[in-house]
Amino acid sequence: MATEINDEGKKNLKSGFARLIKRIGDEIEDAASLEVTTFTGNFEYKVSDVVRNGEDKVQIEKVLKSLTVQNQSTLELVAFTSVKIDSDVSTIVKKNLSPADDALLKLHKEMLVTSKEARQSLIQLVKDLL
Amino acid sequence: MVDTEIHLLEQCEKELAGFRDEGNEIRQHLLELGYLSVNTANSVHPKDEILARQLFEKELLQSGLFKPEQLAAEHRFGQEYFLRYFLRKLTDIDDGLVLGHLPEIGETGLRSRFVHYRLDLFGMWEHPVSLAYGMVSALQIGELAEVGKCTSLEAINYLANVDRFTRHLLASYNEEQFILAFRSVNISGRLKEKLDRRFAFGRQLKDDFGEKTEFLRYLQKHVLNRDEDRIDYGFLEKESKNPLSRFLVRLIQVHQWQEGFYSGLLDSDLGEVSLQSLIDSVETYNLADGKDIKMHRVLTYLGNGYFMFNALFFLQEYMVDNQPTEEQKLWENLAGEVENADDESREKFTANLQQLRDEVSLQSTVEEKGGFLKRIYFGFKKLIRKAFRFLRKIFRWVLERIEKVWGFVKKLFASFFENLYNGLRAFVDGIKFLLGRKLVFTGTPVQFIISKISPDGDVATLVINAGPDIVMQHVRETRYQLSAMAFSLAVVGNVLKLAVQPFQLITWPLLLFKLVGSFQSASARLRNSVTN
Repeated sequence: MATEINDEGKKNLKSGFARLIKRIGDEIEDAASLEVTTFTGNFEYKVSDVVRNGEDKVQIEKVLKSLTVQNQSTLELVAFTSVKIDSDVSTIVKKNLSPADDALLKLHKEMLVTSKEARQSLIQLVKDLL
Repeated sequence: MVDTEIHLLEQCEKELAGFRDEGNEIRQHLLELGYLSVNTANSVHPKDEILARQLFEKELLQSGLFKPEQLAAEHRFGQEYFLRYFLRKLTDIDDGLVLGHLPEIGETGLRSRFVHYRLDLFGMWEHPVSLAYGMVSALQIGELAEVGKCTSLEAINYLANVDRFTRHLLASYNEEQFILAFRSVNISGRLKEKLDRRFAFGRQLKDDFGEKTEFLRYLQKHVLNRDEDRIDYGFLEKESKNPLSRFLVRLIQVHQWQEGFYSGLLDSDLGEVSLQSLIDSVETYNLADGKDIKMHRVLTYLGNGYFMFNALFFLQEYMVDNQPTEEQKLWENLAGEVENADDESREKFTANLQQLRDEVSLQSTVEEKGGFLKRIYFGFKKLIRKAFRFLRKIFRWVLERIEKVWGFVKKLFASFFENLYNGLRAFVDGIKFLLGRKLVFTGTPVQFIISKISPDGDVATLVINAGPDIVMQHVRETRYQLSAMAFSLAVVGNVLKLAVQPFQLITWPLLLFKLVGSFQSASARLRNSVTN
């Protein structure tokens, strides 16, 4: 059992909480717009390169970026949706969707719902804190 | 500069890693409900356990004992939690399930297991718990109903709350019927000698009841007199076989087991361990209440292996409490004591808390002995009521590691550690999300979908070689993770609110108490939203 009992421990705990609250503040500023992106590909790629212990250790966006830059794969954008706080929605969808891509488009729509719910959870957290 | 929020996360993960969950509770309940055979209790094969878990889940969904939305809500906390929650609910005997009707003759499945489990716990079922509900089941419930002076359905439902049943029995019988005689042959000479206070017991009985009935007069003259040679053992033998006495003996053993004073077999035999547990509990109450109740107030050895027990005094004084059951208030109160303690006491308290946690995880192993299950009770309502009675002592009992009450303390803190474990899991999950470290992954190493959900709501998804099946699975998994996340953030919010209050001095043990409280209030909010 950890013992954050000494003065330094107490200071670390206090500062940890303060920084978490600051982070929530930063995130809520970014929550004004939502961006949902869905990529697909069929390249050889080890899942362990992306995920370790269920955590995003290497940042999925960076992986996507490096793959695209190095042109190692046939990575394709299925859809990109941006939702502004004033409900202004823009969506880019891949051209010539095949029947197989249909499932991916449905997935993208589901992720849009997820995105809104995730933002709602963050807003609820802020409301709880207030 | 140290990233202190990451340091906080790491400390919580370290704390979480200290918990050992070997699935002992789930295994015990599967044995108790007959999904696993009692004979295999000492070496359950992992494959059998998997099958037993699957069968239980199937029967749970088919049983209609719980609302679908209730089943869905408990899934938010993960599969282990889900199984444990419902298994515990079904085996709980202080805040247990109430049946609308008894099973039909020939019915198999969870309902009939549930009825047989309760009969088994009270020594009234000698067959496998998994047996179909039949005439024997109905007869045994009839016997229980006779003891309880009620209908068969009422009798089974009374066992949902043993305190309530005990109060009902106390109100249904004459006082003198709670003066029990029992025989226990394998008691050490030391204990017999310690308890050999026949005359003092008789004097106390006279003070309490007088000699107003023939039974009491007979006891004074032929059992509790000074002359050992004049004890009527024939009378004692007859009394000890009386069905009510036998049931009350078992009931007392169950009460002692529920409170952690008794950790032996539930076998209706008040042997050395049971008798020692009665002594321990009287001594604990003396310590808690500042009283000096002597053992002869409760129990005496008579001779020839016979004992006499004043169950009326014992049950009324110790076993039936009307204290509150709000666990959250109990931990809040203790948190207050931790907060007000000096640094040295806090450090010692934290060290003892850690030791308690290790001991709690070690005590929860189920085993088979002579055809009986040696098990522990996992319900907490009764303990919480009791803890309110001991409220002002608990901090000191942990701090000073008082040996006499350590069994009770261990049992009580098992609930604390369970809530702490779940609270920590939710808190860690919530912080990971806020730090942008949370991913939803579905599939295999070569066909998979990964979504990263950022705290501000942005979602990036990568689909590699995945077909429609994995897509569906991923959607389901994301929904599940999201609802779990909402819960985790509620826990984080509760903790943060408490932690940033002005003048709040946050130390590690205090944070742990805050986590327990936060988890409990978020759970209560979730359950209320499901039931309303």
